[in-house]
Amino acid sequence: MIPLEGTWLNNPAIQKALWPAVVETLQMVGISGLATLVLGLPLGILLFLTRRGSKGPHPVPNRVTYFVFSSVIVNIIRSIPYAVLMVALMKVTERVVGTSIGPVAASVSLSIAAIPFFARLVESSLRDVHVGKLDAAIAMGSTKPQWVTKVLLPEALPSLVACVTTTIVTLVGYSAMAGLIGGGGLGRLAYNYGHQRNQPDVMILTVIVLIVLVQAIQWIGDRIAKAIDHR
Amino acid sequence: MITVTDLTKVYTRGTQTVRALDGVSLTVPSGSIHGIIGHSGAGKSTLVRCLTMLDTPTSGTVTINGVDLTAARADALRSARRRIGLVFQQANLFDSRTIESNVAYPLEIVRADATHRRQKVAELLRLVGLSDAATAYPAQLSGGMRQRVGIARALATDPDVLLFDEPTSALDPRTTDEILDLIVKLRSETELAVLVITHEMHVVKRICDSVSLLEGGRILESGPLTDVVSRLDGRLSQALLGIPPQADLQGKGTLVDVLSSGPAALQPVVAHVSSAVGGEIAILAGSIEHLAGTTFSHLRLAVPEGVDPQKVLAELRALGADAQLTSTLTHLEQVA
Repeated sequence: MIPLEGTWLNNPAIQKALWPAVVETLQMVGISGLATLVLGLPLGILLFLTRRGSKGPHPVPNRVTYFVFSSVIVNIIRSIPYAVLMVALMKVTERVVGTSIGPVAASVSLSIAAIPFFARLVESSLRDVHVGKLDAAIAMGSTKPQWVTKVLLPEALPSLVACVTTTIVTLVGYSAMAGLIGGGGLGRLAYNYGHQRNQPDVMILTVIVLIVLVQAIQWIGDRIAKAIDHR
Repeated sequence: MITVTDLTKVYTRGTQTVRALDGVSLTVPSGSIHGIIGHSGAGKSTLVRCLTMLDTPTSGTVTINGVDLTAARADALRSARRRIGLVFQQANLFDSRTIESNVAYPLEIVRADATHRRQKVAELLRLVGLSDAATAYPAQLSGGMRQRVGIARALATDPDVLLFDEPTSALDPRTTDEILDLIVKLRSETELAVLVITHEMHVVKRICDSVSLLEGGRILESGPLTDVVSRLDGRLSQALLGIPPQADLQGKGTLVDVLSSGPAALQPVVAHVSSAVGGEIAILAGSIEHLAGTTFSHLRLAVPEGVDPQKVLAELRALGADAQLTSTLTHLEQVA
């Protein structure tokens, strides 16, 4: 046994609670990240396809769809601070998951907060695809599913990866907040031990772990984006 | 064969309406290259967009090999579009795909079988001289090479017509000529109907069989290159055989413009007329071009005091040239 007397690592909170807290944080971020990707990407594509273009007509069904999804759903959810949203959604979470405690329960409000955020980023990154490329694809006789899947998404891919990275980093931050009302994870560890029991070593170590986690996510995201970018 | 009849496009911006195209009609037979020349804002881009139905024309028809695109329903329009090759100013290649994958795209969307796709792509890359770049990405190529890829991609489905939207405007003069030579080669090998939209007179001079002048959404002049050039007072003629504006011509005598073509352009007309009228005529400026296989010469002459300019005009016309007093010409300004 390495002598831990007098070091931070001697603190039982750190020895016993840190690793489970990291796992809980990763669970929250993982579950909500996956849900956000699966639901937010189609929502972002829908926003892009129904928004008023720079040219051409903007038919009524598109206007209605865009209004409902953009102005109503996305904007309203995005205007609610996450701290409020997670408390407001506790009852809903209990219905859906059966409990409002634990990483799975926290993922409900995390996903609901992150989906509109991610969808907006996706919409904006699709808008950055040069319109001439889409014109070219359409003028060659592509169907809409063809130009969306074979041109629009591949051309936006490096930027979409950056959107995913940003969203996951945001989720790490939100998950710390979610920890306070029962989600567990690093946020709860810092609050219970670092703040309430006044153990600065726990507080500092939690911050360091979070910094390393965010740096790692950003680094991986950047590497992937760079590897698939042929521009 | 491309037939455009009375094509009109009206945009509404707020309360303002803009007639971007105003009754444009033209025909491009197979095996010929037709140029549309005009300034920016003349309606060139709108014309290309309407020809491929990227914008819906307000009225008029666009018929490509017998199919009226303006009346076609979605799936008929898609099949018609696959018979049209479109080449853009900026090539508009897909950056996420390799060169061969870019060229294969039109075949991919019609689900051509893999063997045919590979053969066709290899053949097209050979045609445009880019076999070595097959696995490169567009960002690794120069502007001229990207434009070649754009042309190869446009040819992938063996289209009946090729539309070029400012194909050389982003290229340097040497690369421009390489691309223009490639277009001529395609026309002679494949019997395509080619429409080139450009603001560069050089493009018209070098490759076009016929040309239309587009301005303010209307076609002001149109015809085979040799015809439009032969009209001394035509705007296209003035632009194609331009004489730069000159100062200090006061007191040089009466100015006469003379345009001759074919064998007449190579004769010593000025010497001949000088001796016929008994006065020495000076050449102040001139432009000689070899266009569509014919030599054209446009000269500005000074008829000295004491010689009847009308007699000079009569002599020039007797030699088969078109001659007018410079002061009576209405289109001295450069078109492009």
